[in-house]
Amino acid sequence: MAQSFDTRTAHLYVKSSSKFMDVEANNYQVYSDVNFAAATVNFTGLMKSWEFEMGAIDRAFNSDRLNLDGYRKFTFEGKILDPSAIDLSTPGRYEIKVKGPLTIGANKRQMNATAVCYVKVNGDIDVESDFSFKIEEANMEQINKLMRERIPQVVSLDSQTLGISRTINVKLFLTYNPQ
Amino acid sequence: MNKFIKFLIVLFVILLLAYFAIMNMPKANIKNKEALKSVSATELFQEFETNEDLASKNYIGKVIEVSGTIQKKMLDEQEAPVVLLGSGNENQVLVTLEADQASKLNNYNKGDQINIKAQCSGMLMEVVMNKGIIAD
Repeated sequence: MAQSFDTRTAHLYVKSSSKFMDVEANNYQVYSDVNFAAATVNFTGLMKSWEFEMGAIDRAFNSDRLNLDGYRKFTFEGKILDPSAIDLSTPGRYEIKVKGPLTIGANKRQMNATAVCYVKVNGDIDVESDFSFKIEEANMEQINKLMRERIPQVVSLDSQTLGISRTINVKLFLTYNPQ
Repeated sequence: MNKFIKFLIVLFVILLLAYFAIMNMPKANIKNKEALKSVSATELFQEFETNEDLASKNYIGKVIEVSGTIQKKMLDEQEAPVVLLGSGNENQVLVTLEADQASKLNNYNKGDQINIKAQCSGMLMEVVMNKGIIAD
């Protein structure tokens, strides 16, 4: 029985609320692999693959003028805390807990999440997860610094002006295929 | 006074129209963009393999036309068509196509040559491209 699975088309959805509007974005090009024997799960995606729900933000993000050097990728290297909670030989619904560092550029933070796994008759595994995290004050200052550096100077914006919340809600949907 | 009120009304209408125009602006697409260059999937993959930093500077966010052999066709989580291009057993470029390209992609099978105009997002397991349109 296969213990290793992967997908190139995992879907991440993120939502952050500001005092003006909700900012929502989707990334449908996330690579992920999982090895239940080794209890490891990894995700890696590209910042440029994010598609924003609001057209104006999406166009700004896709413009050549937005410089993402140093922040091209994000990665998550997790451990499955309870790998015995899933029985790959029996189709059904299982819950597993995952913990590990999320890295974006030089920033690293510990993440915890619970994922619901549906083992299917054909051997694929559907996964859904819903979690949130809070950006620390120090990291908000870094975001403001980046916005000052990377957004054209005529647009004088920072996270406080935009009323961006420090809480980010994340949803994950994917289907793993045996490797 | 009347003039001032008229000015305020006109200003309000303009701001309201601008707000709705911004809120309903369509998402970025590459349909009317010219490809910066044409390159094979093998050449593009090798450029990223050799020097990812340099290739990222040259290609990320840029629209290019890539040609290659279809290794695999699939659908992503939003049911958009995705193709893996490559050579031999090696996957070299993953392209997510615009949803309206699905019927056009039905004319292609695994092993066929295809040309796709798309925007480069960077490199993961393969070079990753988005907003793909099949070139005629």
